[in-house]
Parts: sequence; structure tokens; C-alpha cells
Amino acid sequence: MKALTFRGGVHPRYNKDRTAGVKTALLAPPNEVVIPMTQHIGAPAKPVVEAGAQVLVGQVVGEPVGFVSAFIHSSVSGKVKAVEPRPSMSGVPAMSVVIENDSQDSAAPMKGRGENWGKASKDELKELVRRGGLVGMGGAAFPTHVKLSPPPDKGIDTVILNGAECEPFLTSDHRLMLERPKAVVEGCRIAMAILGAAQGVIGIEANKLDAIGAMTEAVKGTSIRVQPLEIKYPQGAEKQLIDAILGREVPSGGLPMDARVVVQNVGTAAAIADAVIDGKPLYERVVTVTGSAIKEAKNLIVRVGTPVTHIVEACGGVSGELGKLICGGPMMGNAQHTDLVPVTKGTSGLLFLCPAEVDTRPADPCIRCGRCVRACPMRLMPTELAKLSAVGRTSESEAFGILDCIECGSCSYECPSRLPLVQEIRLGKSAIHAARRKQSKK
Amino acid sequence: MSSVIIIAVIVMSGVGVVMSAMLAVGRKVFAVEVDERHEKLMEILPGANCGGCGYPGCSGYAAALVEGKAVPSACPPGGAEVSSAIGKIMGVEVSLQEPKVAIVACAGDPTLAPERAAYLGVSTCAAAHAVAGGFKACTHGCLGLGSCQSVCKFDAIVMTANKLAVVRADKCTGCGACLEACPRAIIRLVPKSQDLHVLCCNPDKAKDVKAVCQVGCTGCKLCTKQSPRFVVDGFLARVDWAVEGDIPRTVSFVCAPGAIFDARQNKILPWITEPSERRDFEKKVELWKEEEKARKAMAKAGAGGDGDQKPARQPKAQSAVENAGGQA
Repeated sequence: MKALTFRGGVHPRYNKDRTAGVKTALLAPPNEVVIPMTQHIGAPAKPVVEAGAQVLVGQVVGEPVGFVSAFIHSSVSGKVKAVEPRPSMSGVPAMSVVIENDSQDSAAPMKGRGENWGKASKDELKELVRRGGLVGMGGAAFPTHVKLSPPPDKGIDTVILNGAECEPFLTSDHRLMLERPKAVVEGCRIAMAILGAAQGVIGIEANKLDAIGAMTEAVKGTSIRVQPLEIKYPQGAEKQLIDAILGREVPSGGLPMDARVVVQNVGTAAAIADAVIDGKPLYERVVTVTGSAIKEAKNLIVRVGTPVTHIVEACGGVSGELGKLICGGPMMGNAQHTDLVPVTKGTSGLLFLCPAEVDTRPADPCIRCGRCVRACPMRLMPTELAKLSAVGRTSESEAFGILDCIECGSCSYECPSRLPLVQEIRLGKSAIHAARRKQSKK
Repeated sequence: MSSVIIIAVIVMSGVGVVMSAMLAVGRKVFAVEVDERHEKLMEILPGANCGGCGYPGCSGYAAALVEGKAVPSACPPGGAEVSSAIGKIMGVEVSLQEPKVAIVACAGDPTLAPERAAYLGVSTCAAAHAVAGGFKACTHGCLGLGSCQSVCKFDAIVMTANKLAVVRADKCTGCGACLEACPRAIIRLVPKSQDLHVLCCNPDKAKDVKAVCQVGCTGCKLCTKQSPRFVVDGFLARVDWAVEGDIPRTVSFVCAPGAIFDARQNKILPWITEPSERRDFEKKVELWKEEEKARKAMAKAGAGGDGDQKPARQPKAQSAVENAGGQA
């Protein structure tokens, strides 16, 4: 089958070899977990336990506030030590539930629908997903039940699973597809049932031939097909996936559902299967720990709330000097200033780079080479947008489509002058949103 | 030949007379009424177009004054002089307001309040603040990228060699433009006559403040014992302008971390003034220290035997003083 793709994009070195063949291992839970209440996009969850309370694995410790929010569960059993703000991966302290692990791993009763989930109603399935605290596991952490609740007039006909894993270094989705292909397929079928979609497509980049093989085997006898994709970043971005696989374009300012599609990460699909079939909430996930500064690169199943320090220990520590710690992939992940932060539902990888790999040279002036324009998968003009937003010309940058930027970082990656294009564009976007909020208040 | 010239002259003059007549009529018929007060006001307003009054520039303010929408005392750079002049033109009574100046309520430059990360992105404070809450360990501290300096129309903000924004009280007009430019909201308007300020905005507990800054307010309340004007909200001290009371000069030396700044002797912070001025200031510091010692000795003599714990704290307070005073 021909590998499909979109226009634009970049070809960073993938660096996946170190962990692609490493079987996923269980990481023993730490003595203390710190579970932040902001692990998703939307309103932070409200802690529902107090210091001193006994909790079980999978017990709800945070309840959603509003529709766009998510349940948060304990990942260990033990005693709640404190409910207080703790450092988080966002850089600002987040309200967190700190739980002391009693190493009993006594689990709260989990009630799923079992293998015959097909008899359950759509609302019941959706409620199981919501109760499981599911969020998008590719990194953005958008609450899954919201994605599975499009307005009925959208006429969703396709569910696309993103198995592209186009971020360099990361292999967590790759290993998941190899090791749990059935769960991924079941999750896709459940999502299709909830949305009433007839078609399911799993898009996988062509550098993961073993995963393509495993998934092709697993989808036999279903209405789901596997689609190889060209090796290019950002192949896993929603709009680029839809363009590559279906040839449909999401309208400017629109969402994938405006193209009659819902896109989920393969990790999310497996979590949907866990939540619906076994009733198991999302309290652990696969995390790729890699980079040249870590002694042993691994794919680990990590409990949510595990401090990065604990993972570093389990991977033999840092070799030499650490240049940069990134949570997520190198293109869209967040650099951290401390390793005392906990892993959340959206942490797909931990990247330890040595100082030589970190470019600290200051930016040079734009030479108007146009490489960012060629790289932009959204067909925007990053250099123009960055300049306009730097001087606060918001109405013009809006006319140039700044709000369509997906912040994939392709332009900044390509820029020979190392200009912080994405940062400028992001600031420009937030300035527009702030002005709109002000307008609507008036 | 000459007749051609004569005809041309007559025609041109005729056209000129007709046109000027039309202009004269048009001026009367289509006259735009300009309040003469507007022009007078424009003459006395400073013309900096700083926006401190809340209107788009001096012209906008003058228009609002003429329409009766604005108050005469709204021009911060103009101060009392301009206010009373406006009052005269507008024929209204002017209630004089105490002039204000901006102050950057942070004394923690990177030597005192360390940075937690190397930041290489867009070089404005708002951009740096948006990235994970800023590169400084203290999330309430001055980032030192100079966004306030760049909006100041009066050159009243200087960046110290150690990347800290400092307002020069002698140049500041209190227009408030820097308040909006600061993403951390650590610039405040204070009465110009006041010269004792708490230079810290971190509301955290003492342990957390000490972890990120040497000169952060810990909320120890020692200053409140010196003067009733000092109030501690939670773990952060501030000066309450509404409260009457005398402030002893030594109050800034009582402050253990050195978060209280005494501008009485210096219009700007000691570490950015001329070397000679700094030497003078340091002499004064020595003098104040002596005074404080004498005061403590008297208090000790008066209190009797319970002075045992106090000497332990004293050297600490003094070392902090050296920090605050001798910052170069």
C-alpha cells in the first residue's frame, strides 16, 4: 500500500532505535505519588479527598468541574499525605493530592461492561469513558468524553486512530501497538460505536513496519483498516492525518468533526478499551524514557503521579551532565527546570539530552529564506506572523491565519536563524484571544 | 499682444475675487465650532501623550475636559501645576491629589534571587512570563527584560547591571504605563512623599520565599512593631498609606531579609547611583546601624534578662543590611 502524507512538514532525525525494540516493562510504584489536579485541557479537577484519608488504586481523588474537565484517580493505595500545590510539568505549581504508597496495591472495585459491551447504550459507554478519567494521551490531554460528544448534526463517519508517533525519540505508541493490538482495535470499535461512525482507520508511519503488521493482523474481521503513512513530522497532527488519509480539509477555525472525523491517539484507544471492558480508570500509562543522557533507555508503564526522579533511578541514573530534560517529544514537549515533577496522563516520554545536544546560541535576524513557509503544514507564513505579532499588529496577523497555527514547531526547527517563531506566534494568538475575551465581557 | 496680457490679468483677478468670496461665505456657513479652551488646554498639557489620564493622548484628554467628562487632576506628568492651570481655564475648583510615582516592588536581582532556568526565547517580560511562569525561581520577582523600561516615555526606569528594573523617583510622573507592561504586576503607584517601601510581592510562606530569594519578605512582622504603618497580610508586609504614624529611620535595618527599602536619603536605589553618592549612603548606613545598636542596647537594658535570644538575631540582621546597602 502506498504511504500517504500531507504538504509541508520537516524531517528531523527520529532517534527511535534506542527504545523501539525494548519491551515495555512495569515500573514499581514509588513510595509517594503526587497527583496534580490539572492533567488535562479545561477546568482543573476538584480534590475530593482530604489529608489522612485512605485511598485505593483507581479510587477517585479529583472530580471534574464542568463538562471540559476530567476525573482523576489514585494510582496507588495508601494514605493521603497532603492536598496542596506542588510543582508540576507546566512550570507553575498545581493543586495536587500527595499519597503515601502502602505497597499493598489494593484496588478499588472496578466494574466494566466486559466483552459484550456492544449491548450497552451509547450514553452508558460514554459515561464509562468519562468515569475512567480519559484524556488524549498523545500529549495535548484533551478530555476524551468531550471529543466523543460531537453535536449530532456533524454526521461523524470516520474514526482515525493516530499511530503515526511522528515525534522523534518517542516509542510508547509503537510498543503499545505491538504489545496490545487487540486493546487498540477494541477501543477503536467502542469509539466508532459511540460516534456511530462506519469507518475506522489506523494511521501508522512507515518506519514502524512491525506495528503495521501487528495492527493489520488485529483488525481482521472488523471495519477498521490500517493505513501506512509517510515518515514526516507532524504526520500525527489531527488535521494533517485527516488530510493524508481521507483527503479532507478541516475548515479554518474548525475542528476535525467539521470534516466528519474524530481523531484519537492509539494510547487513548487502548485506555478506552480498558475503561469500558474492565472498568479500569486511567492511572498508568506507557512512557518512553530516552535520550543520550540517560543510562538505560526504556519503555515503562508508569503510574500517574510518579516523580521523574523515581524514573531516573529506575533507568540507572543520568550519565554525565544533563543538558535538558523535556517532558514529551523534542518538537512539542515542555522543557523542565526540575526533575521533582510528577508524570501525568499526557506524558508520553521523558527526554534526557546531554549539553552538546542543546543549542543555546542566540537568534539571528530573519534572512527571508522562506524555509519556514515551505515547512509549515498549515500553509501559513510563520515569519510574517511572528513579525506581526511581535509588534502587536493583531488584526493583520489574524487575517493571515495566525489562529490556524497548530504550534507543531516545524518552522522553528527549520529556521537557520534559530528564531523563536512558534513562541512569537503563540504570544500573538494569546493576545487575540485576550482581546476577544475583553470584547465579550463588554 | 498687450491686450492678451490685460485680459489674462483681468480674468485671473476676477476668478480670484470670486473664489475668495466663496471661501469667505463657506467659512461662515460651514464653520466648525472649536472650543477655544481646547487649544488653550493643548498649550499647557505636557504633550507626552503618555496615556496616564486614560484618554488617547493629550488631545483626547483636552477634548474630554472640554466635554466635561474628565477631571482636571487626571494628568499625572503635569502634576499640581498643570492641574491648577486646567482648573483656571475650565473655571472649576481643583482638588489637588498627592502626586504618585511608580515603584518596582522587587529587590531580588539574579545575584539575590537565582534563576531556575536558562531562557533563550523572545526577549520581553510577557513572553518569558508565559513560558512555565518565567525563568526566575521566584514567580513574583522582576524578570529584568525591561518591558517596563521600553514603555516609559520619561526615561524614568533604569535597568541595573544585575538585570533589575528600578524607577527613578525624580523622573517618574506616575502615568502608570509601566504597570500595564509588567506581566507580574509588581510595579505599584505610591505617594511621592513616601519613602519607605516593602520591595517584595511574594505572598508565600517564609520557607518558600527563602528558598527563592535572599531579600524576600518572610512575613516576620518585625516591621509592624516599629511602626503602625506597616501591615502584614498573610506572609507579605506592606505600608498602609492611610494609617498615620511615625516611621523610625531604622525600620529598614530591622527587616531581616532586607526587603524594606528606605528612599529617604536616596531618591533611587543605592546600587545605581554615582560612586560618590554610594559612598555617602554607605556612611549613612553605618550611622543608622550605630543608632539601631544604641536603641537595642537601651531596649535590652530596659527589658532586663530576656535579651539572650536577641543577640543571636542581630548579626543576621546586620549581614542582611550589608547586602541591601552595599549592593554594587
